[in-house]
Amino acid sequence: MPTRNANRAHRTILIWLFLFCIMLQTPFCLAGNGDSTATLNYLKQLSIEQLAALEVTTASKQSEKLSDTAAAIFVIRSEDIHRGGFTSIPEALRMVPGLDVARIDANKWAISSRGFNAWFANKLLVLMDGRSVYTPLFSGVYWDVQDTFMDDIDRIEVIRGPGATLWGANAVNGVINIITKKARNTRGGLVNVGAGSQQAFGSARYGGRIGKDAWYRVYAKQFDRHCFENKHGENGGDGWHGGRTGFRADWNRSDQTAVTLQGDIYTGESGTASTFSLLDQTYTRYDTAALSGGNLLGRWTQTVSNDASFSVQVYYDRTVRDMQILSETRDTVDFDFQHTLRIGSRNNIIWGFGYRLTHDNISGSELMWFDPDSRTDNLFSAFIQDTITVLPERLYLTLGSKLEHNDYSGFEIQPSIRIRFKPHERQTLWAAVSRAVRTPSRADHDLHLLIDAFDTGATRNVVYLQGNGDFDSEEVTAYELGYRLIPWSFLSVDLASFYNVYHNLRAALPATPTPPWTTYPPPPKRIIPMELRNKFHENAYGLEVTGTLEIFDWWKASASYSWIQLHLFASETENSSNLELGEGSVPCNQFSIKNYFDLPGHLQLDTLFYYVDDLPDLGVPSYCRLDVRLGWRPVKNLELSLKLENLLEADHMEYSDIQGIQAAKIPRSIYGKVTWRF
Amino acid sequence: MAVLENRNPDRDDLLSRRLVAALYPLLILAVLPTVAAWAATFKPVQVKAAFIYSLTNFVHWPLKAAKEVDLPFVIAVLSDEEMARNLEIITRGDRIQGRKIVVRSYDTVDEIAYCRVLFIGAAAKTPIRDILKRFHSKNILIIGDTDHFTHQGGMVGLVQRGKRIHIEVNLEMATGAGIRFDSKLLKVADIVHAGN
Repeated sequence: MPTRNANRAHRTILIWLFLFCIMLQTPFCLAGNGDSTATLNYLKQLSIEQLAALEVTTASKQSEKLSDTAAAIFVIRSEDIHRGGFTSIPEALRMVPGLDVARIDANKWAISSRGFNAWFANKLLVLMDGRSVYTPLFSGVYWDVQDTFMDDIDRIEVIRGPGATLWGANAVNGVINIITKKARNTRGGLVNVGAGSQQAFGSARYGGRIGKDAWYRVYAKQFDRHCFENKHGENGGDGWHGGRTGFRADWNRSDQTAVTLQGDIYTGESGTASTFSLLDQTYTRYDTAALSGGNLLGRWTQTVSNDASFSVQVYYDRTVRDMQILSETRDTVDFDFQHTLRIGSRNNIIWGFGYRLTHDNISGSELMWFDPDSRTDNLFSAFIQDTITVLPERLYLTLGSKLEHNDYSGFEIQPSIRIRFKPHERQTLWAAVSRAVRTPSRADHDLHLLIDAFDTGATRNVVYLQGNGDFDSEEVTAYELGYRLIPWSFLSVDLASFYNVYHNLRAALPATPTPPWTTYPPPPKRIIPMELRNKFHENAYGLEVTGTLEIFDWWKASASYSWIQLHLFASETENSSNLELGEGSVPCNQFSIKNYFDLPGHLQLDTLFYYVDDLPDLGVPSYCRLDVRLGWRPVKNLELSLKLENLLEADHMEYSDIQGIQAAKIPRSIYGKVTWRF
Repeated sequence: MAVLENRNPDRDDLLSRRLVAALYPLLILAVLPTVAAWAATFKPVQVKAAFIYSLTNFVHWPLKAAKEVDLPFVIAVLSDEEMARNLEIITRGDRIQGRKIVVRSYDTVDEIAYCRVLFIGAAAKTPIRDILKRFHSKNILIIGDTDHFTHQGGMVGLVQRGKRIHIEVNLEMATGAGIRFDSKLLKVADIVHAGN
């Protein structure tokens, strides 16, 4: 036996030696290959016939072609932002098929995809240059502080449906990824000044070069938006003004190494009119939020070889929202690592891990408070995704999963399987099954909210809504099917359909009331608590179609239509108030047409038409909306433009008063803008 | 099982040691190329840059252009930084017809001044037809890598089909601009017949 042991030991040593040698060699091979100078010097010696016979790699995750994605994706390009004349990010999102964008008042939007739309819509993940901007307070997005220099946005990628495997929790119904241009592409100066019936604004950016391989830009902007009127024609108290400044610097040390550093700081104020009733009286309350914050982000991307690259990203983000009813200060630090590699000719793997720490300080009021009032939460995550080429150029299979641990609901697994089939160069058929979760927000666990108070005899009853420490994640299993067709080079059609099954949706249910106790001063009080619990289930299904037509260079048109059906039901019959908005709160049908015309004399005429179906549960009638922009470039560096919004009606409602927030009428408005480049 | 038990463990061990000792260098040599081969696919942009570089040897510009002997040979790249960087590396220290090669990268058409070769990146904002119209009479070899580049009137298209890069040539357009191609190039290229 000793010999056998020795033999085994010997073999083990050999195996380790062997592995060690491979490890030693690998970096040399990769480094040799990653060095593009050597590669290019090799390539330049080849004859043209040899070049024609070479095999090349196909694109990685970032440069994946739109038509080759196995998901319902839509991209708003910088041209769309320019031609739409948008002055805020939410307004630009209207053009995305299947996205439900309803303006609540001058500074609030309800934005969601595939249902559940409200100001506190909580099933969407929104990222700006890799920085997550939804607030863990209620898992929604404060759109009034998500802004940047609009002309510097490179694109906004919108994925409808779960994107949790790659992007993480909260990507239940979609991901909005706002990506700004590289500093290299924003050289020179750009100044915008504009004013109109509802707003006045000015912004400026300057970009340049530092040394040979680095570029930078700095920007500043300021705006002031007027109050709208509420449905009674009174001042909506929803004025909004703010300013922000920021920078971005990109350093390309070589073809392989890219470093980005960017940051913003902002300040502003936005108003809210809220309605609440106490002791049979209804009160309207005007509250102004003092907003401020800032962020700093660094990213290092390293190409290791033609087949592998990694990136490391770190950011710090601070947001302060100071209102009478609730003040919140939040600090977030986030670290992410991502590695992309190709193994063999068939496997394209992307994996990574991340950590996020968020710390808040919340000071409430007699109407609303959080317990505890300060909390530090940790989020650990890891993911892996493999895209397998089953049949080259024909059939691809993508398998992946995200694993997360958060302080509220513990471990979460969010897997997905996607398949993409290209029967023909101009056709793509895709299908996906995925699971995603909306992890509990701070509010789900720790909120205390005074809902009502009424007197019965000598006793005063106080109704509270309170969070629940046992509140669990809301879940979705999504089944998706899509088809893309480019019958001719001037026409493309994109069709996506989905069937979503949701479980454990949030509801407010009565908890056990406390007996009345004598208080001084009288009357005696009785607490009637309501608590948040996972209770509802829902099925949702729908269809989204987009067609894009570019027959002539001077005319681009696209049209889209979306249809959605929701069926909400409770697991048990019990008195409860539904906090998830069901079938009557999303537009069943939405339709839009977009036209860009390039006219003689350096004129541009752009029209955006939207039809949005009624929201019967919210009492919002259907509406048509037409926005028109006219742009003129009399000389190369100067552009004058005029934008008319809501041309068809004096005003209309896009949302209604729910969750205490008063909605305002969206008025017809006009503004002019001067853009100067140098 | 019986066969295995009958074997002499010492002899077996010795054999395996010798075998491994003999094979190990071979093993290393065998692994090296495997790893290298696994990694030895090229980025499309690298191969396209090499194509552009070698194309210049098979293109004849009109005499007027040839008289610019004391000027550098400018390759302009529109809206494709990666291509510009690769071309810069590949042409470093080289000369074409005795002229120094200079690669210049541009973001907008308006900035482009003098050049002999113009590569139009897929991200170019100006429609291809407009760019072609603008540079058509200037004896410039116009290259692109978008899908229907030559059908739209481009002179040379570097188009990826499957895993290979194909050259497409629109002879009418090139001839119109006074540019002739060597027959060696035409043997490799696909000739596209599409006017504007």
